Amino acid sequence: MAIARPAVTSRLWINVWLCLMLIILGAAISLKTGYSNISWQQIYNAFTGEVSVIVKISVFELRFPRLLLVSMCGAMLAASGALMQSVSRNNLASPGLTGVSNGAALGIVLAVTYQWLPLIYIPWLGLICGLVVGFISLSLSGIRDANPMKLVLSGAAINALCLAIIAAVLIHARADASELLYWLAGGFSGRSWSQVTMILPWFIFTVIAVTLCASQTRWLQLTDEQLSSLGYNAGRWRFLLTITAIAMVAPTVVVAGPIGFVGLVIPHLTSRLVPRSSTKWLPLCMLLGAAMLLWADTFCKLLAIKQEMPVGVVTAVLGSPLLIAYIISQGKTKRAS
Amino acid sequence: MLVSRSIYVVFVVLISIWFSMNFGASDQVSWFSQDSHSQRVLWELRLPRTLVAFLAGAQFAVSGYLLQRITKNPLADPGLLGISAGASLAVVSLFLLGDIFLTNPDPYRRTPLPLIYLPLVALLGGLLATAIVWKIWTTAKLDAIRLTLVGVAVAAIFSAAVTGVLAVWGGSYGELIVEWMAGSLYGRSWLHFHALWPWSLVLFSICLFIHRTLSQLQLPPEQAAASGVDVPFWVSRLLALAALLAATAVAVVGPVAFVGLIVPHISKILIPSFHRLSLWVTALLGGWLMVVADLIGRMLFVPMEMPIGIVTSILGVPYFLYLLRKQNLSS
Repeated sequence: MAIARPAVTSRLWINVWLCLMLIILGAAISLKTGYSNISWQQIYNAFTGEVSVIVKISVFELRFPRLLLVSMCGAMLAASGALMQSVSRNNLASPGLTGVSNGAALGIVLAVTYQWLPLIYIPWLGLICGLVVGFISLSLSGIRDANPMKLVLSGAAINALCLAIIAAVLIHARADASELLYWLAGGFSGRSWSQVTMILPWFIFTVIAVTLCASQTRWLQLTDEQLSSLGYNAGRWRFLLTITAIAMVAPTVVVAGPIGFVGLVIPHLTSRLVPRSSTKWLPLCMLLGAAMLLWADTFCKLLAIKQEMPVGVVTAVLGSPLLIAYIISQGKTKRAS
Repeated sequence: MLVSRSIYVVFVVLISIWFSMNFGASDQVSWFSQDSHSQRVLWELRLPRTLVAFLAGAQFAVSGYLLQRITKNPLADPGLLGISAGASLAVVSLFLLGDIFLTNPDPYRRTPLPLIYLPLVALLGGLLATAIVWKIWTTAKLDAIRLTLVGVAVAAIFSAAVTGVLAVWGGSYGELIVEWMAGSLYGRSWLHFHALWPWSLVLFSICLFIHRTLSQLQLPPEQAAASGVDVPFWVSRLLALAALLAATAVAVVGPVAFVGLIVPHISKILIPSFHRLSLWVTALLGGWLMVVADLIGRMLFVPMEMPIGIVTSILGVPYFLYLLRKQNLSS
């Protein structure tokens, strides 16, 4: 045991270091790629000395805020998915599959098309709708005797309902569909500092929540009976943490639209690196989530043909096969046991 | 008893068609007046629309019926198994990319691709999605609930691709396609009817001959094989039939959700045993549900129209959740 401990710690630090390298490399490539062609030298100069106005604007007003925004959203989505998965003890819980993202999107579409609210309150409406939808789908599939398969199916149905109502609202309001469509696909094109300042308080909230929760998720792997015998009020904890998890998603939906599969896939990838019971699991999820979304977004920028591909499309195309593989592997373990 | 119930269903269908002909945004329509307005509304707008709704509904319902029978899964539906999403991807890609790359490069001289080709393209997409789900299903030997889950995941890939195509190349067609993707009967005319009825005719006449095989496939696979049925062959062929039924309907009215899921359950209430008539009662009820849902969508916010897919989703989601609750997942 005395020998095993340092080995685990050093492996952890290698993983953290790898994630950081992924983020830094992704950030560098993300700064390099974009509409106008800017050399590495010019980017370096933009940070240290004098450059032309165009370079300055495209680095500091377009690419740098977008880079920050993408990493924050990735981290928040991953943290939310990780928290949902450990709270509901359901490995398929995630903001996308439970319908929380689309529920928040519904609230935002309602607020934007009918202009009920001033802009600052829109995240709150998204949050409320996300909470309502999330609790509906979690309670339908049973929070206590969580059945992963049932959760995904009821989530799919609720997603269908949310999308149908969104379509109804768009058609009813005769809204400019093309812009909202792009937003509904989930993308970061054209985002700037105003979105960064909007999401920053929520990101700080996420970081605080994750630092506080990191030691708690280990306990939430236990059953309710075990928890109450340890003196925890399990129901209250699960309720609070579910709200926290949903509060991490709603602001990302406001700035970037519903981006699926980050919250689902990242916790699974992270649990390959460190076990779910580890206190480092949640923070590592955030790092890996930021790295993944950053790379996906850079990929979108590289592939831009006429208009950029929304990043939600890339994450869905990458994430769905992993979901299929997980479903198949679950079926196999069931039969073997 | 079964025959008399089927006759009741026929009556209910006829009554719903009568209502669909008599109600609409324009209320100054009379069957007997000779003025051109009435004639146009009745014969050029409402009749083709009702007929398209009926045929598409029947196709969706029978597709869902076949899927539920073949996969022995009460939660199977062309929408949930990804067939509609595959067909949508094919149609949207053809519609947008064909518009850009195949037709006249001058945007003012473009002629839209003929409607008749849409079902052909849609069925390629539908068959592709079905083939993927079928391959995963048979190689991994999934149970019913995991099959639906895999279908949902495959549908998610195709829907994401549709969104991507739409976001990049959608342009000014965005609104039109949002309406089509929601499943809409707005402005469906004789042209659409002519694009659909040959498919209905061919596919439903194939359905006349499948009852025996379908009933043998209800047995466990080993017994079915023992009774002389080539199970993999017939399962794949019948899945393809279900995909064709759904995909050609998707091409004309868009991916209307949940009709294929609900209707077979209603027809099972009416005809509990596995009877030759149950497929046809399912078809009639599917047509009936579409006609009624369209009527609701038309009448709810006159003169605004709710796309039919939204009405069926709002009706279908609670029923799906109810079925899911009833389902015993441990087995």
